[in-house]
Amino acid sequence: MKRFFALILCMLLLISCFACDKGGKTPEQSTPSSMDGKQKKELKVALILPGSLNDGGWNANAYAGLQELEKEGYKVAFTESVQISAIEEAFRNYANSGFDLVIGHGFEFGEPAIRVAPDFPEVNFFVSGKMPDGVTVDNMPKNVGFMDMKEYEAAYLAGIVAGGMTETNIIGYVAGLEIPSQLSNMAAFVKGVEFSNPDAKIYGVVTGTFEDPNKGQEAAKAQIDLGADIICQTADSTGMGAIQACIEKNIKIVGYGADQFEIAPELIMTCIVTDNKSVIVKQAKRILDGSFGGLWEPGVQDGTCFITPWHNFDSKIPQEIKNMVAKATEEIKAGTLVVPYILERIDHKMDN
Amino acid sequence: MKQFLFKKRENRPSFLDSVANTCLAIAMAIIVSIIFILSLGENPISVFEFIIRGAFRNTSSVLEILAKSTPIIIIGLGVSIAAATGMTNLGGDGQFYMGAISAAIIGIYLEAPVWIVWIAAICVSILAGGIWGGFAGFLRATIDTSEVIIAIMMNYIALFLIGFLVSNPLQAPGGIPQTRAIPQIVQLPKLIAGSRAHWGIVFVALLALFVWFVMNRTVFGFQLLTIGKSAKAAQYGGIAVKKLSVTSMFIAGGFAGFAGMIEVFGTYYRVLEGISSSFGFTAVMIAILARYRPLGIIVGSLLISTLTVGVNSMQIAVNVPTSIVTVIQSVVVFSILVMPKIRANFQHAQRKRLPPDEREES
Amino acid sequence: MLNPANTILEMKGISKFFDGKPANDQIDLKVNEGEIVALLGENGAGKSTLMNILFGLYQADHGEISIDGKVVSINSPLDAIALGIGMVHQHFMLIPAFDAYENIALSISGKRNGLVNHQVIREQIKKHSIQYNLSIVLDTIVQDLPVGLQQQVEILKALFGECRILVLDEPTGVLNEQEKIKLFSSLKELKAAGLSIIFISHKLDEVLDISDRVVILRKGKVVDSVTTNRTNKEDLACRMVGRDVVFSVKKGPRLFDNKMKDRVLEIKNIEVHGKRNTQTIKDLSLTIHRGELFGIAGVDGNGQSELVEALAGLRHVTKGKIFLNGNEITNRSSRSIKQMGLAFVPEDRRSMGTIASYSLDQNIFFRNSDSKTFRKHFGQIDKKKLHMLGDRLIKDYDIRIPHRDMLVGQLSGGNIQKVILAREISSDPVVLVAMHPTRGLDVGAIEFIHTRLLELLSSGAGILLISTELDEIISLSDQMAVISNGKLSRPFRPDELSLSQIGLLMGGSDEEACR
Repeated sequence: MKRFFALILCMLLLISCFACDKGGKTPEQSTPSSMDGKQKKELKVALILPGSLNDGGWNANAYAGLQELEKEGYKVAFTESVQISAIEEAFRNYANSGFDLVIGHGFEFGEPAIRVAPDFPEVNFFVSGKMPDGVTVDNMPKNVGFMDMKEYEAAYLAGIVAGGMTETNIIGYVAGLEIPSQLSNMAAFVKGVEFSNPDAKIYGVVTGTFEDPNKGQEAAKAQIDLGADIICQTADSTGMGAIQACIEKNIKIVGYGADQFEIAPELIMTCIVTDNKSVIVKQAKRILDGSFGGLWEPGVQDGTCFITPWHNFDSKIPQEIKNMVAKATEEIKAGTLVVPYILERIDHKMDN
Repeated sequence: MKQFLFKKRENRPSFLDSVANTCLAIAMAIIVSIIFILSLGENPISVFEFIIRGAFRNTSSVLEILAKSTPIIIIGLGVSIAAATGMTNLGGDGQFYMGAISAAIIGIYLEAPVWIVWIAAICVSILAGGIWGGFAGFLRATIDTSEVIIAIMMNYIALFLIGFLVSNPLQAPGGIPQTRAIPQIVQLPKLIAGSRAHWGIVFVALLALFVWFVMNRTVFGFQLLTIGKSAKAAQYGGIAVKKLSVTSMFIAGGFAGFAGMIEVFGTYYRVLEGISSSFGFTAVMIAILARYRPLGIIVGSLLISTLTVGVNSMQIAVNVPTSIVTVIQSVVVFSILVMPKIRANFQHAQRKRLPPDEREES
Repeated sequence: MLNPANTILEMKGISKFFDGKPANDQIDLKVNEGEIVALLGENGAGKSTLMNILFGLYQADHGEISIDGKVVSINSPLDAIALGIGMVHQHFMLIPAFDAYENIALSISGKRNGLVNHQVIREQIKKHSIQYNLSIVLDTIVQDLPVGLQQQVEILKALFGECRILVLDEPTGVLNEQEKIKLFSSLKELKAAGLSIIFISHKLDEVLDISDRVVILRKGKVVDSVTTNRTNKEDLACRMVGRDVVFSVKKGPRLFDNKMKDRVLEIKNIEVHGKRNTQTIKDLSLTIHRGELFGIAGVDGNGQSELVEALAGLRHVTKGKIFLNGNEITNRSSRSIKQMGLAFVPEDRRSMGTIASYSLDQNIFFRNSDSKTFRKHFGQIDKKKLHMLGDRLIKDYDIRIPHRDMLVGQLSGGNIQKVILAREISSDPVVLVAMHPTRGLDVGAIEFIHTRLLELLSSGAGILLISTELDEIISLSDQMAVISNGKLSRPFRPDELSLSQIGLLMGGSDEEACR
């Protein structure tokens, strides 16, 4: 027995010696080198996810983007469910392993990225979120990129549709948490409605959760009781409850997050959507075309945010409305229309 | 345990013993891991190669090993002091967080020269961790509750308390549940720029030396060890058993609190959830394996950290699912805990059973 | 008397050695059907060993056991139960959290292939308990029952193994007077039903009361076997404690005389609670003068441990006062009591008196760890000084230690005791409390220790010696007393009372009966 163990131990020691030796003598080939002349096939992209890649939303979309990059021939790697406290280590780990682009998928990655970036000037760090407080485009390292998603531009377009389609001149809006992205969406939606129908009233509810369908259903019912004939939701699972209430009462819907058309083909007019998958894919392209860095502001302009096609409503929506939407889209893309970024409630509050 | 207190001769066999235990544990972990990796259709040799090469691939990975082991060694040294009196300090995580948050508060709010901030942070963190640990010891000494259970419960209290503090009163602006960062001037300097390792590791070496001195050379250490050998005899010997038992848990907690301070000032610069990834439990495991010897605790912590660093970089290279990584780590921990027992049982079975002893003695 | 012809159990030439020392030496024992045999003897006489052999807990080194004339081999309690032997241990083997019924059913359920018919068992238990006058509340949790009833549960449990021979190991030790009377009436019923009972005891009254025959054991040998109605208390006491005083160390010229009137230890009416509140010291007083050795004799477990622990500061004194050299030490810490000059040789020399995994030096030091003598500037231990003291004690006390760093746990009992004695005496005590200092030691070591104790006396210290070895007490004491059931008898000079009178005191009789 003892001899057997001793033998195994000796073998293991030998193996580990060899392995160490190799590691010591030939440091990894892929020390980060300059991007110049690098073909896209050689670009190595790492994705660090704050949650599980099976969450069907934020993380899953990003992972889908990474898979697309892999299909296109990039070398990719990822780590999922990384705690905030472990972000810096993960950044350093990938940077040390010769990756050219390391993506931290979330606002919380901003600060570690700023801290790590100066130590790895050849590596590009992208953070799917806004810059932390006190960091500006001017004072941050050149090899870090942030993004500020203008989802509210799409909400504005949806508002135009809703304003044009309401018959009772009353529209409901079910939001999730009271956070900047939700508030700016709501305000832009109101502005959109005002644009197409100055007489319409919007009853908004900030439910305080993205996870509670019951709350969404209650909120939507209350709005319907007040006479709303269109409900817009931007509240993920909570919003699913709102959709349910609309189906029961045969109320038109503006969906959110993905093209939800199939849930209620006869009721969903359109959906406010952000293409997170393309966010990831686009970063690799931005590095190759040299535009990486600073604050990236995707929105309707570059097609990252949009409203989904009409489907069954193609024939029901008046051409007039369609034209208004098309015109507004053009103007946003051209830069002649700036959708206001408002972080205040300008609807008719219904909470409490 | 510490039979080498006054002498060298007795030391050798037991030292060999612990080396053998460690090697056996690692061997068992490797064998189980191989089976597991094979069952997933991966090549075990390449997996292990990646682990070892990953851990020693360059300076920064080696420094990462040091960075990872720093808190574990400090907590482990504390565990060894509690263990001297027969206490098991499983509350390292809670004590770590308490030390970390109080040190962070000092670091953020105390406006004073750097060295005063440092000294204040050290004192406050030791006190906070010590109270957290000493309380479990105190309950054990006075009303005989299990210090293990109490300490584990105190972990949860600390964890939820931190969760509350970093998302409410102490939250930094920006929405992420974390405190503000301590000013750059009071942050501990890095060993080498571009790594996470900092000068806290130097403290660790000094601390280990100090613990060794106290436990092996001083009356205080001797009294603690005597309590652990036999509380009954210690009491007969005139040693203040209860007081010293509580003290030993206080010291263990203080060490964990100090580890929290070191991590806040050297690595994270702020407190947020997750800065301790079960350091407390890992430290207990390593301390047991090292038979509570300071040098052994250092070696054991470095070993575990090497594995973690190697496994992390393997994950990048091979892109195996994280679950493999977790399983390998768990198997190592498991076998480290189980192997010495198996071996002891094996040896015990070989020994002849002695006749039951009534009162007669030879 | 029943028909005596039917011998049910015969043990022949039973010997059992522990570490080469005989605990049972060629013991013969015969038990007839329907007979109550009392096994009488002091602690360590070999009674429990013999019964443990019968019950299969130990295996005899020599000798054979036959039941109904057939030689049997009993390798485990299961074998014993199958042969109809039941045993009620001194410490009950009941599961405290189960009720009485469950405890009894537990012992029989195995026989029904794991299927338990509760109704049938309940009926049987009822039948038995009525038949033998055992009153049992079946549905009460055992730990809530008074000890007397717990014992009845044990007896019932034993009876369910279709028991023919019932062994009771010191059954009355934990019982009060009513419970004892109840037990005896049950035993008489059992006897009438044809059961044979072996009754282990050192209490003379009980033995005379219940048994048909008394077998007296001393030092592992059967000394005598007498029919109960042909003997009396004095006779039994005499046989139990023996007359063969073989100690070579005698007190020298009278050390203690009336000139030395200083009281070094004075205990005044103390009351101490025991571990499980079983034994308490009640209203105990004694006085020891300079140069006086006070001996306390008595059977183990009568409050000796509680007394010495109270003296040493290890157990709380609820009433009364203790003075050492005129200073009160009641309930002070063990450290300060030690510093005030009370040295203590504890009963348990391996786990309390010494620490097995410590070296000799460390074992000396752990009892002196607060002394400044061995402490250097930074709180380090002054090993040099300690080593020198160790060397001196090894020489002075002839401690046989193969090498200096050997762990004390590896030494023989005699040498361990020398280490303790050396350490305690070297502290230059006012009073030495020594409990069982010679228990289990060989003659040479005993003699050495006795010599040292007498030397200490001549230096003026007082000694409180507690021992179950009556001979030792008698030959060394200036004054002695007998402790029984937590009460101390009047102090007397060893030559004042006869052996049998002392034996009576040990057996629990009060002093009037001795006269």
